[in-house]
Amino acid sequence: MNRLWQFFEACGRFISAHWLTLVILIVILAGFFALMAWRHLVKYSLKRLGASVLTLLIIITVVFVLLRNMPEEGFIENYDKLSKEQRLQKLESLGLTKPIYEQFWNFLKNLFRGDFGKSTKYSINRDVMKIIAEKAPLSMILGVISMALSLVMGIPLGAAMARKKGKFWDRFGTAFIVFINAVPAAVYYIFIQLYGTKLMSIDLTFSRGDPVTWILPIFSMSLGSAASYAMWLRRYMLDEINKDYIRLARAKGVPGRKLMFRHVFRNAFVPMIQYIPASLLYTVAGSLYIESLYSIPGMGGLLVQAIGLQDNPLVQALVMIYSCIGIVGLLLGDLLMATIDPRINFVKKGGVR
Amino acid sequence: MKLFFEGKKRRVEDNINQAAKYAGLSDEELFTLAEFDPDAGEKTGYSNYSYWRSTFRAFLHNRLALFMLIILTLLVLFTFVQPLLPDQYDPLKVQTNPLNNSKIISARAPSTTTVYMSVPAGTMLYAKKVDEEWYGVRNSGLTIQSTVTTKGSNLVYFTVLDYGEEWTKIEYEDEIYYIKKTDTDGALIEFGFRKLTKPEKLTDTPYVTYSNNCIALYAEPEDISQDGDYLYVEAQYLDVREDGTAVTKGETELRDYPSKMPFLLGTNSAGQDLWARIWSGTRTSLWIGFVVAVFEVLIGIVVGIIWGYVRALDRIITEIYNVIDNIPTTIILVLVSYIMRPSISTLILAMSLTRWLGMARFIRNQIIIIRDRDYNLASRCLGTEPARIMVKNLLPYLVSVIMLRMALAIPNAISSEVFITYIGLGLSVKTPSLGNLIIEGKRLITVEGQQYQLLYSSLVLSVITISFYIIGNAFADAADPKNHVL
Amino acid sequence: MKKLLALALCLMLMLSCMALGSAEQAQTVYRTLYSGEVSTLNYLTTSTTNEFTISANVVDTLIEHDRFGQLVPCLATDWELSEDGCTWTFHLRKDATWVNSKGEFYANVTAEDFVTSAKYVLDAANASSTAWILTDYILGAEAYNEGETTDFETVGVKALDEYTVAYTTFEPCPYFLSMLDYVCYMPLNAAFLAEVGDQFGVASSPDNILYCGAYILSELKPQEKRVYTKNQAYWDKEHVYIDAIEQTYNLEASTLSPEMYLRGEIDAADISTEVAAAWLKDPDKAARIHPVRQYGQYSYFWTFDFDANFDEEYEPANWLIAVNNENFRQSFKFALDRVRAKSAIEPNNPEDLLWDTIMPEGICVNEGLDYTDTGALSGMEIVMDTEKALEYKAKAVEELTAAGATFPIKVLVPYNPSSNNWANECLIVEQQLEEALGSDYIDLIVEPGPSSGFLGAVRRSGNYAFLKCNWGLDFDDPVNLTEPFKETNNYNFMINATDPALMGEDGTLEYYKLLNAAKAMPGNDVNARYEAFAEAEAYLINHAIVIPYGSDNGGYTASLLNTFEGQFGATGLASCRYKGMHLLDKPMSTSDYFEAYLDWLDERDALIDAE
Repeated sequence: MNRLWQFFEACGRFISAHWLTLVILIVILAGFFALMAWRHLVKYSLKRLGASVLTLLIIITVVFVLLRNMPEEGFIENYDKLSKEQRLQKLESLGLTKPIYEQFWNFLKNLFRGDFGKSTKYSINRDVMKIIAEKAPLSMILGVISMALSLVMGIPLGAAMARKKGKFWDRFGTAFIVFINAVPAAVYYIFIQLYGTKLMSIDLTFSRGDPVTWILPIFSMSLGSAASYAMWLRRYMLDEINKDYIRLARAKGVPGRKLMFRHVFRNAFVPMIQYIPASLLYTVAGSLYIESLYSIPGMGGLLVQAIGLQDNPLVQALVMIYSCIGIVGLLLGDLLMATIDPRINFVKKGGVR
Repeated sequence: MKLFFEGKKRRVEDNINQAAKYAGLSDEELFTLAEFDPDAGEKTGYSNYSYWRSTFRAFLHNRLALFMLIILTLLVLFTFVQPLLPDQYDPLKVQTNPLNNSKIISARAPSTTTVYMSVPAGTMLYAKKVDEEWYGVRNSGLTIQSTVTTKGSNLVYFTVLDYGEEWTKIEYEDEIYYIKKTDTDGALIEFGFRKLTKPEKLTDTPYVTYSNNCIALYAEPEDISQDGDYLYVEAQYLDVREDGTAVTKGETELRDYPSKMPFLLGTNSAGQDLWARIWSGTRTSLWIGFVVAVFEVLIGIVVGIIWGYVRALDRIITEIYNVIDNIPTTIILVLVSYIMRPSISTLILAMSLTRWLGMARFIRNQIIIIRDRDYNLASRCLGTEPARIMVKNLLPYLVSVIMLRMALAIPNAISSEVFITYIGLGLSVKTPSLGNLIIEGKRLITVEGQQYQLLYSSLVLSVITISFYIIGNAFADAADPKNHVL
Repeated sequence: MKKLLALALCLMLMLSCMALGSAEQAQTVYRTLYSGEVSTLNYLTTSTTNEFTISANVVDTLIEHDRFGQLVPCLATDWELSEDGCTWTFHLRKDATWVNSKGEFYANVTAEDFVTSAKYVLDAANASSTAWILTDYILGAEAYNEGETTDFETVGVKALDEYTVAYTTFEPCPYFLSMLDYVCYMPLNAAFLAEVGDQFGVASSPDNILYCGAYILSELKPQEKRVYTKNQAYWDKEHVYIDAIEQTYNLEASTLSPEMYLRGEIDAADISTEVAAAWLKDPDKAARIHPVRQYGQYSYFWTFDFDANFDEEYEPANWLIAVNNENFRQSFKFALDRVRAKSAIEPNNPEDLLWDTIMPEGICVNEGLDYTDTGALSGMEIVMDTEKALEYKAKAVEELTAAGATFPIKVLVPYNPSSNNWANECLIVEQQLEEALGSDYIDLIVEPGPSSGFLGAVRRSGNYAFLKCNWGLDFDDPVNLTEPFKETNNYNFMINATDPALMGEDGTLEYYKLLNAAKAMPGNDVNARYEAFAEAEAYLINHAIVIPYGSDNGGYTASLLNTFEGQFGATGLASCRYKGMHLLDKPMSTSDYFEAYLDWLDERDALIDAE
């Protein structure tokens, strides 16, 4: 397990250190595949990515301005006891005294050099990228595993619910979905932790080297998305089953199983596929509840904490990363949707021009 | 399958038989000329089918959903009615014990507060005959195993052997000690008590500390009344002896003095009535959820349809989405609550600013899936205006999923309020909401006997969520025209 | 199959080795959870308790507090004060060494290290949040800090020889010694600083600082875990009894730590009032918790605002008329039920946390006489007296009506929503005061302030009427607690007061005269000084400008440590250090706690008598 972990960690470190390159690589790869099959999509994707650079710039600017408007007191510890000059010294050392356009220009210059700056409050003087690089892998690994688990649990459940509407699986699934949605996550997570650890007689907290302690956090994390996958898949499949072509296929005597998976499932899965790339990428953000409960040193809550502490460089870097993920995730989702369902078209003229 | 084929066969046979019946007739016998009717000429394909009526009818057929709808309606109505009911507590008022002004903290007992001890039958009490019905009881004549909280709140179990004027004789670890009562009047018993050392002379001042427990005799709320320092217990519960002492007839409980109205769900750890807080919190949260959901749905649908259908705007709206979606809500919350004072409207504003995005993206994905289908193409070819296509061609197709999404918008807004409270940016405890009630309850989840503080507020949230989920799903099913043929 | 067998054998061998290893060492390890991660190890710039708790255990100071709060030698073996009372000369011990995170020798601790450290703190570029302690007292420090001079020779911190360091204050400062047990007076090795550069104190690795204290940070993984190990090269290592301290990060520590403590996974836990109430009912669990020890680091008090810089809807003009009437303020002082208000924070024993003076007891003691029993403060008692309150109310109503005030007077009482019980505390005060004085007389309006930047938006801008404020003590002298009330204060803006009852004959505020007189007292006559300060403080209380409130830190805690074995002191780092404490076999119960407390009191009395 340790070896495996080291491998994971190495991977994670690599990913976080070169995330920008990787994102570009993924985009290029996606673009390449698209080029092979759907030339027109490539042009579309490139255009969209081009526009995204501008978007990113706008996001950075807005966040930058917002952050500079945070209460001054929040930047300075021991505010009451410092003299005016000493407060000014502190603000100066944080680079907050210059005119805002100058600050922004410096920030952009550093950004282009790949320098995200150093944390000013969260872990003083530490490279923000190093902080993130240390935390991201763990969150990502946990997130990806739990996402896989939730797909494995949620998709079959949703399909089973739709296939036999009103029968056992439908009822069971509905009960599960209702329970997960009705009880606040903060509440059932802590119940799972308290009673799960007692049942398994293990420590309450997570430990990297001990695979048994991985089970509960991953399981808890997957419940919510499993329920939502099941719920939406059921909804979309039921909508699909009622369509005429399914009736026709049925009349023609297509076997139920084949019908379900070839036609109903495939069509019903299209609207869901849009979210998969983004969810996969967003696993890097971690889960605040789970990581707080189990002492998992991941990314969960890092952004919230950084904002609370008014650690501007760290917030800035996180916003950048999450924005890239969001933008690329949306694009990949669109491409994937178009791949699975050829009727969807982003390029062909149509609609309102 | 077999049945299906049999049915088909029968129908074919029927057709053949029918055809045979009319085989020999001439055209004149078979057909008659119709009169010209100008009105009928005006008529187009007519049916009394109404989409919404049918949807509604289909929905009414789902018993469970109907039941949940009624429950939800009642719950919403009750949140408004509750403050108007008689004898309700103020959700903010810290309840204090009328006898010693101490807060009534984390009390669970429905009609009074904590039960301190049970007094077996035959317990001796000092009683004073007031009239035929009632006896005034000074509850300072007990020979019982007693629990006293000393300063520092260590639990010490000792047996009270005898009450003197000033000194109480007790037994502790098989030795006899004396402790001093600091207050012998009224219902309060306070013990001077720290180290259990027997004073050399009874006049020595012992270490003086106080117990926190105010003990009063309590039988049933209706069998007890209070006047000043005396508690009056109905005579039928006591045997009064000649020396003026009384003996309880049955098992009696010693409790904090009961409050006028029961705390239905007890009090919280600050001493406020949980029942009132939960309803006030539900009101606040439903209001927040409702307003945010309305914004979410309105803005979300409009933007989503335009985003999905109007290709020229796709890219620009995508980028606007990207911008807003990636500005952390936390920053907005921090800044908004810094600029304005933290309040319900601040929270609504901050949540509304970002929550419509998810809805818009959802609608847009749906639109993209269906916008290039042939019937839309046909519609476009016939020159239908885009607005009409959006409203008449696209929207009805989405009614079912939109309904489900809308139904979940309110509970989702409430649970995101829970999250916002969790990260410390929610409403303060001065404004009860399901968010801060649940987070407060969650804090006490590991505390034995305090789980009820989480239970009730979670229960209300669960009922709201479940009813919206079931109603939403049923409505979504009902909104699908295919399900209208009953 | 053979491979499997070999693997199994290997595993068994490893396990047995591990078992043997742990059996041999039999280390005492103290395990806890923590929920606040440190943002730096740089002890020369931080001022947060959380952060200097680490430094306190890994870096020593010139002198430290002992178990009874007396200042005793630490890195300095002895010291003398010059004739003029301004220069303190310290002779350092020669066996103190710097070691790195692996415990390897780096250098000796020398006088130069203290000069380096002062230079670092005063360097404006480092923006130290404790620089004010030097600039306010040390000769030439302010000029250097503000860049008026770059010559450090002008600053009163000098290494006289390798093991002698001298500090010069710009005026006699009798309480200077009590300031030394604090992070900004810790040494810093110049060679190491040059080596690590701007990585000094970065909280990413334990290699970013050097160690000369009782412990070494042997492991530091932010947001995960930190481990202190006993410093084997420590000059006083026979007084370090716990071999290792393991702290695990958990954001939900407040919820989980009691449970983990019961399960035996950790050795200490903070016990909230609710947990305490539940555990006290179970004799077994009740025996595992004990009251929190009071050090008196923070003094809380209620103040009236003379600035009234708030919204029109709260009627600032009306408030200013009211607050400048002494009878009005007195009615608050006598009507306020502090016990009830305090019970929001500590429902079990609220009285224990109440103080009758602004300065806590047991901090400033002169010849066995506590400052809080000195002169005008002796016998000071804040007692709720509703009758008296109503008398004052009647007078106030009469005078205020004449002055044109409208009733009820709106009183804005803000609180910080991120502070757990503050809201409830304010609600209780609102209910209780309105009940006692009548809601036709006052109308308390309890409002939340912003959770970030609260003090700036509320107290410092005078955006309140009646507020609970606090001050953290920096050194053992009454002058420290006059800071919030000095002329340029941002606490109650008393300088704006127009109340004739507060004015001297010349039309200036009487309090400032008393305060300046006290400050002008010669430092060597401690008794007279204390009396002068006591008079000033008593003035604030008697004229109901400030209502003393007490400590905010009460309740219960669970721990395997006996805090009475550790260092004691309201100021400085005493309450942070593990040195001197043993790991107990069983948790300390309340009776153990009181026993230990009584023993400690006896010992201290014996010590005072012996002197």
